[in-house]
Amino acid sequence: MHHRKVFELSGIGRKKRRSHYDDYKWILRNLDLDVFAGERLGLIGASGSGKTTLLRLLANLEPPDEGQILFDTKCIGNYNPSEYRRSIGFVQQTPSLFDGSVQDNLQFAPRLRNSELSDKELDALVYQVGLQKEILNAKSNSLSAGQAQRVAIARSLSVKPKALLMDEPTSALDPTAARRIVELVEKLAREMELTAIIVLHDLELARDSTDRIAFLANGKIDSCEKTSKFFENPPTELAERFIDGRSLG
Amino acid sequence: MDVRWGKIMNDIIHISLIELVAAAGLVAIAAFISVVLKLRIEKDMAWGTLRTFLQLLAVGYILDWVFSVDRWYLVAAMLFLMVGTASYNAMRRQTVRFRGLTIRFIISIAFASAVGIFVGLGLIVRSRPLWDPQYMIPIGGMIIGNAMTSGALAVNRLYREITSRRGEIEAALSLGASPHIASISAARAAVKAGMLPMISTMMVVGIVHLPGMMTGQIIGGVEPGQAVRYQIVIMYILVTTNALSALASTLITRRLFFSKRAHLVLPE
Repeated sequence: MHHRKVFELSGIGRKKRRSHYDDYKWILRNLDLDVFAGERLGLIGASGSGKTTLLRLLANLEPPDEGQILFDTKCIGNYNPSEYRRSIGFVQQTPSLFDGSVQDNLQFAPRLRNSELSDKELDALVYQVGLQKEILNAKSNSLSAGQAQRVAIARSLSVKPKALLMDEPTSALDPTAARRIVELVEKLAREMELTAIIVLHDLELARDSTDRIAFLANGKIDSCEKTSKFFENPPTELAERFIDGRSLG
Repeated sequence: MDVRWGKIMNDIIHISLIELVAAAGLVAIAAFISVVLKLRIEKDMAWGTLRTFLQLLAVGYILDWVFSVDRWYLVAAMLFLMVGTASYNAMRRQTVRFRGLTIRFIISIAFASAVGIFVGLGLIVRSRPLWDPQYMIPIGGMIIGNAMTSGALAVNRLYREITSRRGEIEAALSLGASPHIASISAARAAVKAGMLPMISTMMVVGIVHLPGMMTGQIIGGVEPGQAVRYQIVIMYILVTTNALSALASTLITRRLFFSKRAHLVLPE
């Protein structure tokens, strides 16, 4: 069904060190991955397996030390950084909203380009993420964690991205709120024909809301499979052990 | 003529070496407190007392020499030495010291001080020649010292702000903001942190706090009305230098936090 590749990652390596005194360690090494247009890809793996790093590489918040990432067949290093980032919506694990009102947050990106969203567009944006328009004037620091996460999603949609990257929405939220957020992303991806890549800790959530699963282990993609197939018949022993290790209902 | 202990020159009471040693004896009271309360700072106190004595005495001899030789290049050399020391000190005061800091402090402190010195001495005090050591060295020293404090405070704050606002900065970057826009709140907070102490000082100057230069001039025989005018001029110069130093050091260090491809990187 989806054949056009949005992202093509080949031979990706990324090393980091904890401090000036430590040695560099490879977080990701020899990682290959293709992401297709319109799909919802779930990234899973043990903590420390490099899921967040991978997402940050895709968001161009850090550069790979090895390999290349193509976006729409062009290497992301060849895009102007802000132009590239505008075509990607990135939602962090904990939403870092800017000081000011919800509206200020949503107008941030348009104002960078000397334009503003109309009232109608603002209403539509908050409606899309399941919020009422009254919230537009609320101070960003007065929101609940779930509301803040929704505002962060709305903010990332304000650039009209082609792909949405989301880092583990479940960590800051209670299970119900987390599920609602993931369902929202699923709905948005469908409606807006967005490619969505979501790092997920909760396997049940991953099973219910993604088209395909990429399982990270030892710094690379251990296996990548259609979601139903991945859970019914885990493609590798490592994947099987990982699923078994987390009790799935 | 007021004669006390028999030594008067130009209406100033001179302090002999014996009197200096006697003053050092005052430190014994502080040392006594340290011993009684078991503060264990007697050693540092003794070392500090000795250093104060030697350092200032040495500077006194050097200044005597510079004043008597009276050459522009000696004055310039002293200013460079002060800028270098101030920059090193500003770097040492950072909670996180990363590569490239000292050179950035040298640039920003030298720039801010140069503006302060040219405006203050060149246009307001109008010392002729401009480099007249009697004015240039004490006033230049004050300006450089203040530029050091505000620059050090600003950069320290910048690091803290950028690390604590990391999420926010990266959120802004991922919405397409330039590093400049993404870190503008952090930079504002940094510049403000560098400027605030001087502004609080201005509020209480003369009431709570009698500035050293003014008291020095008064002891030196200058009539208080004149000494105060000098102090006012100096305060205004210092506010400006502070602001320039805080701004310049913030702007040129901020660049270390972003890669050419606009990634946020914490400098090491």
